[in-house]
Amino acid sequence: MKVNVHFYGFVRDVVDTSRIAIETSQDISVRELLDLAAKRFGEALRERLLSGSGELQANVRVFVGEHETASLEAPIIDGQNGSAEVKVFVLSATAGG
Amino acid sequence: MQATMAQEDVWIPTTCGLCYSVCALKVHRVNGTVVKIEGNPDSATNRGRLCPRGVSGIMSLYDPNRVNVPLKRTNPQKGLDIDPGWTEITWEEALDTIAERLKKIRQEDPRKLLLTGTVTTQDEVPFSRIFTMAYGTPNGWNSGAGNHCGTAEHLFGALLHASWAKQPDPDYCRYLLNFGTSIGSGSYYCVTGMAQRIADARLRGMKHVAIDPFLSPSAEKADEWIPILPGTDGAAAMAMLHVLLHELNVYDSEYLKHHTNAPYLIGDDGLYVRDTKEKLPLVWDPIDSGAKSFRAPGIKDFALEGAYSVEGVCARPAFALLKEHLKPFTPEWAEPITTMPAATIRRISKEFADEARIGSTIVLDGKVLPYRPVAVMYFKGAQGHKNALLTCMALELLTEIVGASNVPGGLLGMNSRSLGHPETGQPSWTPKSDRDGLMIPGHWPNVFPPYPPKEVKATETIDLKGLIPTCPGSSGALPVVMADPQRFGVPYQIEMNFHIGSNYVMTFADPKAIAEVFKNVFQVSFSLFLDEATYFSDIVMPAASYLERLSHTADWMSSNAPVGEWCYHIRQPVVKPIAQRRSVCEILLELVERLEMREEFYAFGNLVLELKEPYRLDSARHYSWEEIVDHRYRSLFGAEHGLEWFKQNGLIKWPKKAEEVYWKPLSEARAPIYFEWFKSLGDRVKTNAQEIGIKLDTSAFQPLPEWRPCRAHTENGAGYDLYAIYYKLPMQTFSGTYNNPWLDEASQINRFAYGVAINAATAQSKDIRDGDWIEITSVSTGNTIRGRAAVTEGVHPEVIAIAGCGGHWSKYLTNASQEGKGLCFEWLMPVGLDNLDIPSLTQDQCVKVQVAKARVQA
Repeated sequence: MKVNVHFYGFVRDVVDTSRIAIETSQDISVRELLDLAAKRFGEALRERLLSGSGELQANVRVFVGEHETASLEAPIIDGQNGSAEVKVFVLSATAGG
Repeated sequence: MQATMAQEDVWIPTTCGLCYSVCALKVHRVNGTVVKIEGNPDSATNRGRLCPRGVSGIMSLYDPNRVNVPLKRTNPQKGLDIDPGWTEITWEEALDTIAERLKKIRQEDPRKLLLTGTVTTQDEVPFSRIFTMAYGTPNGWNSGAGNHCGTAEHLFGALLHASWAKQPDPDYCRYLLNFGTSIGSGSYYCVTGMAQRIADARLRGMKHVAIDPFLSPSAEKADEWIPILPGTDGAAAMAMLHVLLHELNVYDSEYLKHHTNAPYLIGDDGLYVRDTKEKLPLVWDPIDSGAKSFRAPGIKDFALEGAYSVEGVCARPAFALLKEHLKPFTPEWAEPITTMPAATIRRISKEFADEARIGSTIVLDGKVLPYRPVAVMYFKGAQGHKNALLTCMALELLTEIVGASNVPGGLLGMNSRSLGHPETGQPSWTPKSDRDGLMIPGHWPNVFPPYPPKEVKATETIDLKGLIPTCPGSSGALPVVMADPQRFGVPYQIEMNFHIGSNYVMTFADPKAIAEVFKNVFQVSFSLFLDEATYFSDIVMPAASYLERLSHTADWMSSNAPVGEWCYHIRQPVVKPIAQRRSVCEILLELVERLEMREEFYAFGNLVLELKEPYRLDSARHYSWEEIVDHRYRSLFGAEHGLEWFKQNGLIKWPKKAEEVYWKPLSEARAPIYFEWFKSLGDRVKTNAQEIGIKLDTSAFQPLPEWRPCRAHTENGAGYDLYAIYYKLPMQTFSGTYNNPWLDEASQINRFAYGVAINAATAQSKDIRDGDWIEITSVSTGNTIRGRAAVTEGVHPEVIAIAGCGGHWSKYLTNASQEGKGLCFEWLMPVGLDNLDIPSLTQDQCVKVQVAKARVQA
């Protein structure tokens, strides 16, 4: 399966491209996908996305297809034609008092 | 002479944009000219009421000092008094220059871009943050972190009320303890609607007790004013808690057991005692004489007091620790700190306890709910100090102890729960709970709430919020870090400031220090006026005002009234933008295209604006601003309620349900009365700060409240014998409205608006008479400001009170910059970590000063 991963937001300083494609021979979870991405872009990406205990940082939201994933262990579902779209958003605060 | 015939005579519905409330307007336009602004009686928010600012908007629309064309500075030197040497440029040149600079920075490191805004541009700032999020920078700063913002109050809003702000229940509250807010007068959230509701509440018998150093516009409408020394509100609250728990033995045990963490067992280390299997906090069931996880089925009762041997440790319920902790803080202890007589503290504690009517119920919408008609309000006045976190904690616990949180009559979140429009179920949010059972807001205007806390990290942003994740909004540390990012381990410098309507030079702290921070930054301003902040701009673009622009729903979580009806309004142009003025949002959309970042921008737009299918933005095509607004309305309120519908009708409203307003009894989310996670969080902050090489006082990260002196209480110098404080005015908003001639006239009528309130006896001791020019010198900055004395009995003898944010000096504000048009309080306040409450990054707004009659009386 080909997984297209889109990175949006406060992550451009640690990834050199906003979109990568990862080929996998088997079903993988969101966590495994982020591990693969971190191998490519380094620990800075892992630290931006995951906490020390391995959970998503509070300002990170991941969508598989159109649906936000509630768990890092959720599988990446094949969308169409052997590919899937994953969007990773790193948000920042919007306003103050 | 021929009479002019009216060819057009229309009333247009829209909303005011002169403060952070969203009051509905009806604007009268005749032959293309706005001739009158009135409140819209159809709105559930302000119910036809308007404040002086609202009716005066016409004068800001047609102000001859407005920026009308794009401008470029010709003088490369920047400073507070250095004329930028403006020259007109075309829009094309302006946008080319900006786009080129933005492209370059984005390629190098997008974090070098900063967005500064303010709450009065709140309809534009969130949209601008979509732009900066898509761009890739995390850096934003509302200058409200200075003298406007509730900062730490918002943190406790999240932790205890699942909301950004709070209000007393205007329908049922019978006793309002108001620690220094402007509620019922001219500022705070839902301002005019709540002013009327508070007035109505007083007529039906609610007692309003104002505890404030100054007999403020709100306090003068109260039943009782109790002067207090600035920065000591936490001590007063500690003593009241002592009276409630140790003298009156009044607390709502049922509420504490079922809706707070009061029964959670705490070990010797100050942390929860957890079960070995699921690691959930334990409680003690006194019927079964055993410890159980708080979620365990069949708990017969929750112990609130006592000591128990559990898991090999001696454990006590959180409530027992709180009670014991409060024992020394008697009214006699508080009297010399606060200057409130011990007898007064006891009396109001008793009144508060009696009116709480613990055990009583009320039936609303067929539901039997607890009836606790008391509320404790506080905002900038009480929490704008170095002891902000612990002060907020003490004040909040008063409401929690008597079970008056989000129940009829009590203190209500604005608006913690929304079940949405009947046809669409949107917008909707509901407080949730985490694994420990503690409350998580269902919605948060800053995208993600401060609880559960983010991981403590080396700071990646320019505001220290990576290191200190408990800061709920704007950070007071930003100018400090921006001045020397390397010192804080920030690997970049801010190179460009996207500046939207914030006069940060005048509204945070010492303008000289702020000027040093911003003078080397390329600044692009979207401005109504050439104010003091634009002296640091490289390009100024003429922004359309709220009467000239369209907004994607001006309303937000805390603009709706806490009770009654939900109401969402349109903000639409009532005249075409005058001259070359343009809407910020339209300009941003043009920049999105020039920067080729449509995909990212629309992706964030869909996420942040919560657009549902079929109204999500598709990056295969371009949308105009009107189309995006239309999508937003239809996504929220259904296909029938698009932009055209809102243009005609102005607003949509529907009744609030009892379970939305009084949600707490129906929720499983517990409020903390013991802030267990603060201590370990503080330890992590301290360790990480040490690794970076900075020393931070993290001792305020503690689970229970106390009172600590602020810098103003300990910083003394010969002759610096008075405290200077700042307060808000009903006829001005921050620094932004001082050029308005109608508001100027209203301010001149009120001798306090442009003057300095000083106690009569104090003035006499300094040979100062009413109307004399006086000089005020700060012990912290050494700066001196001048103003006219307004001698009164209505201010604490040890305090001077300075209104609003006047004292402009920009020569381009021809009205506001005249001498005698108020004072800029911030000249008195220093910039530095020493002046911050570290856990919330709240900037202190109180300082010791020397006051003397000016030698020159003109």
